[in-house]
Amino acid sequence: MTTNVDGQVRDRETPPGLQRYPGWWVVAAQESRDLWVGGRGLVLVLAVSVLLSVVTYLAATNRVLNFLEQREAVNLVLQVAVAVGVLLTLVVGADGISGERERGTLESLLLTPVPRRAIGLGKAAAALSLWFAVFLVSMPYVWVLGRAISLVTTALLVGLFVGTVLAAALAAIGLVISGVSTSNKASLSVSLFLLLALFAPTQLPGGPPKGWFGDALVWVNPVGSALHYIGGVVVNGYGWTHELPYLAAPLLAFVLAGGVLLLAGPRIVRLTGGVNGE
Amino acid sequence: MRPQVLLAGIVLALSVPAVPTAAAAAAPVEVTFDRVDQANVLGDQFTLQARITNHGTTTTDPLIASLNVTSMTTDVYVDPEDWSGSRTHELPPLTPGADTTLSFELQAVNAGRFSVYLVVLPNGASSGGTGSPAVSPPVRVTVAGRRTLSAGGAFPVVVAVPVLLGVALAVARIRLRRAG
Repeated sequence: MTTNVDGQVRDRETPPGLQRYPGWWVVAAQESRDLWVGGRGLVLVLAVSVLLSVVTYLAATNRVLNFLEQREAVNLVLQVAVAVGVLLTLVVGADGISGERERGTLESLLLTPVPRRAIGLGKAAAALSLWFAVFLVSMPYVWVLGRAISLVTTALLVGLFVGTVLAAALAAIGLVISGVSTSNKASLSVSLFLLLALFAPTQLPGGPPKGWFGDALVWVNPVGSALHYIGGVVVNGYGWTHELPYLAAPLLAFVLAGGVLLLAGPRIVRLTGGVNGE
Repeated sequence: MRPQVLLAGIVLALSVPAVPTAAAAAAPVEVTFDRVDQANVLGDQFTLQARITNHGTTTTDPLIASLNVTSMTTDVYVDPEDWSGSRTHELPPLTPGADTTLSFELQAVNAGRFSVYLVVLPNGASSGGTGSPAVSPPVRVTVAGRRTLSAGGAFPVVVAVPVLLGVALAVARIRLRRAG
């Protein structure tokens, strides 16, 4: 996080003002500083904004857009923002422990008087800051597409709530994978494969019923059910409670992954990777 | 046989069907809407009330009512399911003189000229799929277009957000470089 393996401090001493905060908060602040002041976060958010600009421009210039499809345009931009936001959160989480190991900066972090559980929590919070930044960037795009149909507030609220749950779950999953992986390359590969596997079912053609297996696939998939829930509220105009069961999978993923990160934190935040530490 | 008797026999034979058909057996059902015209702007929601009345002397079979939307021009594709999420209703048998009212929530999702009409079919054990339908007079629906999305409206946001972020990134990089 802050220092090299030989203890050389770059520019990241804990500011005096942070010393009275809990350990996870200090770690989160330092990690966020690394992410945003170093420029990596801004570059990623800039790339997201270019992507959202392209999607929004295509949606706005589509000659066959009508009223219903305008709701779908808002949904499209919101879902792209959520998808890319949670992808970045997962990638940052997947780099959180194994990346520090390979860069040789984890040892000095472990020497700090912060519990290892708090290190995992702080890293998850820092990864989550990337999702919030992506969401902030997506706000003007949702506004420009949804203002004429009074959909902006609803779309932004449902996107913020569902996206935050999903991003927190995936950040925790990424950190757990990063902790048990023997290399950073393995951690990133497994995380990206997992994300693709979760996103693939969402690309199945919609419309007709897919049978019990197709429905079950949507229900158990935290990404698929979260995007389905967002689509229901934004496109179909459902109330927040109409498809509430679809939030079960993202919430369960958040609770389980967060629980594993907290419980297994002391065992996975360590210098050696792998399940047995070999 | 005298011609008058022959003519009377033919008239009598034509006036009494040999085998009663399902259409003849079905009670006369009338279907009407609460209006004949409806003007909207694209995206508007509106409600149509339909009244189904049994003018016959016998109780009808159970009925099924289905709403349909048809474009009056061939250049507009209409998917009635987009217009209303609940177009089909099952109705209990109507006693002679009884009526019932159905309410249909619609949303104008296409611009153009359309006819909305309701078809009521007998849906009894024997009459289901064979009875004659009763059709309402159509409601003429005119939907004016409304283009709410435009490249011009989106362009400032599409350009401004990446430019502002790019400037922020450049400033951050310059400050970082100056700081050493």
